[in-house]
Amino acid sequence: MSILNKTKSKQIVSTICLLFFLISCKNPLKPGAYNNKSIKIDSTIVPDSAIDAQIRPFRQKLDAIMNRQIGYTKVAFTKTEGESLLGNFVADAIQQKAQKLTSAKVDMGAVNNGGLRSPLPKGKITVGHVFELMPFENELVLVELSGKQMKEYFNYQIGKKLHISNTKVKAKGKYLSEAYINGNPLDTNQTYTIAMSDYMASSEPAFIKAVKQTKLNLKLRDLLIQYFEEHTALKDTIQPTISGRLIIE
Amino acid sequence: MNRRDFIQQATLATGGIIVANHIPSWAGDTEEINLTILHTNDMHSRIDPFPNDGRKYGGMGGMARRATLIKKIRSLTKNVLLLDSGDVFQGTPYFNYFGGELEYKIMSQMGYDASTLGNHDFDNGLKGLQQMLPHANFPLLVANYDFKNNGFKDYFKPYKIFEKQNLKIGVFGLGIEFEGLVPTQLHENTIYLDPVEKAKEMVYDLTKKGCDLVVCLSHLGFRYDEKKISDTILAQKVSGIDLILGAHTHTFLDQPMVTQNKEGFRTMIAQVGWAGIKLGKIDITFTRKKQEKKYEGASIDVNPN
Repeated sequence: MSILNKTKSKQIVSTICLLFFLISCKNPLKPGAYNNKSIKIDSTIVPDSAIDAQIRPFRQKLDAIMNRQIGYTKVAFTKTEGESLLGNFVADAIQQKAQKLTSAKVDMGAVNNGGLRSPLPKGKITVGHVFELMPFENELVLVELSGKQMKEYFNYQIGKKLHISNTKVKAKGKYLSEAYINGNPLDTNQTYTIAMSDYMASSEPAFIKAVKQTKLNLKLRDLLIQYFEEHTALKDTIQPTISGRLIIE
Repeated sequence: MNRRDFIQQATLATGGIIVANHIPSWAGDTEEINLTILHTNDMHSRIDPFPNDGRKYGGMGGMARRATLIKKIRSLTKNVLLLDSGDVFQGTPYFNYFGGELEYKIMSQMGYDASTLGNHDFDNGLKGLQQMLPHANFPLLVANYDFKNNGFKDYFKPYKIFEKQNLKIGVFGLGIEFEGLVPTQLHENTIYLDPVEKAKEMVYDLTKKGCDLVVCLSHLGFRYDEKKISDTILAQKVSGIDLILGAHTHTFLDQPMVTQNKEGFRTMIAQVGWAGIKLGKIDITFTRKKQEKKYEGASIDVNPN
């Protein structure tokens, strides 16, 4: 059974082999020579016509929905180490759209790096691009945290690549050193409202599951599509910047 | 090009580390059986190639191309196992609109022998997954998920034994812990069991049933900074798994990693990134006359025309 082993169990194997040999006049089959490689799938390979024909009707249905242009970008929004244009764009959109849906002041938008599944290209932005960026069915949630919980939240998220809006956070190594929200230092006596996905609001750190949460009945994907469309209607181009929202020293 | 030339060319192209160990052969044992294991992981509903819009991996992948490549390999070699390590679902609108139907249909046509459950295969819930199963003519193998609380037990199997020529290949699956990845309402109280204990059980059972090779389809992930269970830790803790076909961490291993644990057991760990950008191919020659180990590794371009 073992492919690659023999040194330690050689004696046992030999005994078994001999036994096997005496019974069946044959040694057991052993895996021997290996040849391993991974093969790149690229344009040098002609697509299988039967499979392609099977995909076609599905693709046509999707193209009709996905190829609709909703906006325009002057540069590609990509995910880089730390603060990124893509992360800032989504965090801003989440905060601004949430603010339109509630009378409470929304202090911050937040999105986890892992939730951003694909960059946005430079130029024409379609519904399909947003589906790739945000394929999940996650919905927008308002989460209320005390100032103390905010500190705990930031401490938990440091090093975990959280994208945030309207906030500047500085960390020394693994720990939060300074935090400014709405331009003011984080106040432990205040309550803050953060807009995020229901996925984030139901995961870590554990205390977040127990705090006050309000669902806003809007999928994050639809939120981003609307955000683009609203800017396009105003002939405005979305231009996120890198502004030192998270600095780890 | 016949298969021998194909492999020889690949060997010449890549160069390789050859470690040969000979054990005295017995007369008459000249039988040789070749097995080719093809594998994918984390295809994430990438049915079409990535759009060629300047992004990373632009123009790469595509299931119809993969089908051509698999057909070509099948025409050159007799014993092929085609395996996947989970996260077939989620990532393109094909999943949002059709729920995984097309992914499973095409995998069935390609002749996939088995897959396991990735965390994203739960994205439409167990109910959503169950509704797609009629489109899959291959089993979903998972040994460390217990479905006794939700009535989905009969839809999944812990392992399957495949027979190729005179070979018995035991394949079992391992899923990742749900916490932080799959909400309870989606997995419906499926119980996650310790993958190390389950893997030991699987090795025992499959060896007892006479398997010549034990393969694990793992969605645990290649390696983490923390002590979290991964393929590399699994190989350290469990002797008897010959090959781990990994997933979840989207790791591009151009060459499978071979690790040896404290008991001296050596396990090969392979993973081919994600999105069907690459197809993993592992050729193994089984022989009765000697034990020879030869590792070839590299990522090479193959134009099958």
